[in-house]
Amino acid sequence: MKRYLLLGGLLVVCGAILSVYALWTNSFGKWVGGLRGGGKEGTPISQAKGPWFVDVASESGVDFVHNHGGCGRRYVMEPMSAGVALFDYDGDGWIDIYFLNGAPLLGSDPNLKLFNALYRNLGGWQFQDVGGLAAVDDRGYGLGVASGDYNNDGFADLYVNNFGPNVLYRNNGDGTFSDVTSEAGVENGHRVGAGVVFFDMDRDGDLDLYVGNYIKFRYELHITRYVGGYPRYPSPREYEPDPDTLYRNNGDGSFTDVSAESGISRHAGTTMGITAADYDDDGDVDIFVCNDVRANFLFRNNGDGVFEEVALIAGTAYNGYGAENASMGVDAGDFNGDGRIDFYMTSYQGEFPVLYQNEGEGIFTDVTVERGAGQGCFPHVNWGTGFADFDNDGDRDLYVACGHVDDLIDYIDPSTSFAAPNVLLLNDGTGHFVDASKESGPGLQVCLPSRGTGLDDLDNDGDVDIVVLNLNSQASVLRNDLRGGGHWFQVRLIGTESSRDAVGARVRVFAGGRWQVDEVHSGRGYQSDHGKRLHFGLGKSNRVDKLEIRWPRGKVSVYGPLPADCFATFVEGEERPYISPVNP
Amino acid sequence: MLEAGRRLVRLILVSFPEDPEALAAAARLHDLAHDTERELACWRLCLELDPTYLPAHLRLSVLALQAGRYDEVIALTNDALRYHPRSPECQTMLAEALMNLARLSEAEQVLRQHLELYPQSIPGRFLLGNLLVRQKRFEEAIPQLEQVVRLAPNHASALHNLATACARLGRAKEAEEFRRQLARLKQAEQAAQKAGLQQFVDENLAPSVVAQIANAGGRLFLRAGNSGMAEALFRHAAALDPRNIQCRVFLSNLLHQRGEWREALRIVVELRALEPFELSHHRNAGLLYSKLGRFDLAEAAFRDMWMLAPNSAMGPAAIAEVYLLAGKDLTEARRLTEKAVALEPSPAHYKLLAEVCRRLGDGPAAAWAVEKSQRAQSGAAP
Repeated sequence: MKRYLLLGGLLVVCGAILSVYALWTNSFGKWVGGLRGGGKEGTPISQAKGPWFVDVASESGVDFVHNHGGCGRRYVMEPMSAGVALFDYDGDGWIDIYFLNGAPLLGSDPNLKLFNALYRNLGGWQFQDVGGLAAVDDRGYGLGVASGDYNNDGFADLYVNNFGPNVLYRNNGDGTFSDVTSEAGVENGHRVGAGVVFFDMDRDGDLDLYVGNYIKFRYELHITRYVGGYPRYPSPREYEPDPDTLYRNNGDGSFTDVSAESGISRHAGTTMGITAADYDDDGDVDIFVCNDVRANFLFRNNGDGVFEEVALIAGTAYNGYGAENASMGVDAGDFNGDGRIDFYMTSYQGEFPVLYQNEGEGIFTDVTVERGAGQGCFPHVNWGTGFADFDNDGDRDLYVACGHVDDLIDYIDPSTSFAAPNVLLLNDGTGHFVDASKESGPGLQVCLPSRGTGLDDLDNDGDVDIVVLNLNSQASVLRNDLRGGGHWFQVRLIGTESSRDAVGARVRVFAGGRWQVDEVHSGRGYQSDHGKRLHFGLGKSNRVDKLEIRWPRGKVSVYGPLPADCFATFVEGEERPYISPVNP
Repeated sequence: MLEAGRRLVRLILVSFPEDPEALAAAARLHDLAHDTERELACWRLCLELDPTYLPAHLRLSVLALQAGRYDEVIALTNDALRYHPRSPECQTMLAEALMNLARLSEAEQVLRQHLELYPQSIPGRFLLGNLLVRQKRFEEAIPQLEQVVRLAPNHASALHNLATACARLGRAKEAEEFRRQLARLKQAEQAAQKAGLQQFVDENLAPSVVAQIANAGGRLFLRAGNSGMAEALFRHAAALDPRNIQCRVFLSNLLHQRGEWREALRIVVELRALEPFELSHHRNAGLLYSKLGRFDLAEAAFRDMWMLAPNSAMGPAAIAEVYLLAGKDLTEARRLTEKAVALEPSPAHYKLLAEVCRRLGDGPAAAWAVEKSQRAQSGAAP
């Protein structure tokens, strides 16, 4: 009932928006001009074209400083923390930021007050820390996070994957959350967490939960290694791998652990980043799991709640040389415009990240070198990553967060560094990438030990901004002051038969003579979550000719033509979208 | 241990300040101390002293390859190949760098030339197979990769590439078999890696590196005619690293030349245990046992050598000589010598046959063998 009331309310708001749309379609040049200048006064912008990133964390009030909670003993999970989630928790149309934090580990001051932080986006590049007010200031040892409306009430909930018991926060819809972990049955024991994804594994209209587990760790198993006289963090090889956990949503607020019957727990790995995507285009959602120094997993969904691990057959277990990577984060997207979902996976120092090109029929090829997708990354350990069209030219670019595991590495190995610059790879439109890091503004020159990364349009100006959690450092909030970028179109989906978030929906956009495809994901990159509102760069095209949505439960909707440079909300089963040049 | 290494390097550098080998020893010590900048400086200085010095070219190339500086690898290896056009390491590193820059056709050319020179090269053959898979030339890739697996059955990367190539060609059963083999191997690798983590601890690595330095010093002193100092350094290296081959080979040769057969034999016995498939160790053991009058053990060592190289005349000839020395079963000695002559009709083997026949009292046969020996020596057909 609550759900329908919310929908009713939404329709009233949308009615007003539709009248704005009618006005807008007659004078969109004026509207667009007004929007694109918003909030950028006084910013020195180069005359060259392309994205231009400026770190505005401090001036925006994002003063979050991560702390891994270590005391110098170098526990294995310290450098692995942590992820970040970008999502609209209060439904006001502005994307908010949720940072995970560490917690005091054995030997640290137990009174050290470390907690996760939620920064509410007030608009105009102002954020306010409301973690305490919203009651999501978990004091567990945060590693992975995902947001998803698991109870279909219209408000995004949060799942935090910790070293220690995990937490499910139910969004109360009034700006606060409740810890419902126990009643939902998703504590997941006392394990070392990793990435997490919400997805509808059985297409029954509610979101299930895949929880990554890294290794089997107990304090008494801790070991420190020394290189050149310097202590180093232990390898995950020192520990036993731990199988992941899959929870099926019972539809009544509780979950059932189906790890065994789904086939997931048959495979023990060292999970880090995870993403769920329909790589074989068969209508159900599959799971890519990055394993640290082990073969990755690709769990193909048989559609009946059972998964088959097919990474070796699919070609995603190893890189093109047949070697396992220290796989870190992963994102799914179509980089070459062939309509298939490819994977990009970050990796360790001295390894290229891997761009797995989807060849169709469930087969992938490592095309990293051929596509230039490893430039700038090789000397560094890579973590957070994501596909996004940063320059709005109609193709998917890549962002890679870098920084070494070992804080003393600079004394041992001059070829890399603990605090490293991050990498921006721009797609040239043919599926080849060009390293644009040095030409993309001061925000890309910052050297910090970066980890989880979120990509979304934080100021609703039509381009994709970046949030980076930096280990033991202040977070970065990189505003994209795009210079001479193309048109754009952003899509929000509301499921009615499908899950409310429409996680798993596939959207195809035809504009400027070419198709683009994207999916709604919950949980991606390095133990992070972002981008449920889909963003399409349109280049010179000032409209979307056609837009197709394949909803998670299978229904296909077709729309168009639609105007560019606006936000559109599509409700499953409704014929017309709600479109606004400002975020609905 | 590092301090011991430093003392050694100081000694070597003071004694041979202009020798690249001395600088190479210093470079190895800096590598052990994870001081990459000083290590690089040493290797570069090596090349200034001797632009043809291959170990410096190789190490600089390896470091650049590990850091992903592929343009530098190409420059370094091309430079090295000017002086050492047949260096297999330079050729494969050049190819790998080219592949990592997506310059596949150039890499293919380098690899094909490399494989003409070294058809048994496992890294070269694998890189070519991998390159062909990347170019989707699966039919061509398969024989290359199959050869890698024949040469190195536990080559996981080759198995992975074979599985990929077979799968893409629709040869599902073969692909599945390769995947099964790969899965088994990877499982074993994981276990070995966990067990081997201890290897990466400096304390475990240091002795072997310092042993290398001592060995390099020993070679330098030996070259300078100071065999006493050389022996001391080789012994130091052997004591530090019970698996170091080179210092043991040098030491045993030195002792052998000095007539210290018993001590030389002790070292050779260690070498036989370390490298049981190396012919020269068995041969040297046989020779030393013979000199010490332990003919039974000499025969056993030569028989091991013969088993490793059944088509070589060395084995039967050496055993025949032992029989002669021991005055044992001359009929069998004759049979063995005839076998050696059949395998390699050299003047030495005919001479040996003549001696055996003479000892058996077969004058005509001995005369015939002497004549054959002389004809072989003069270059005419025996």
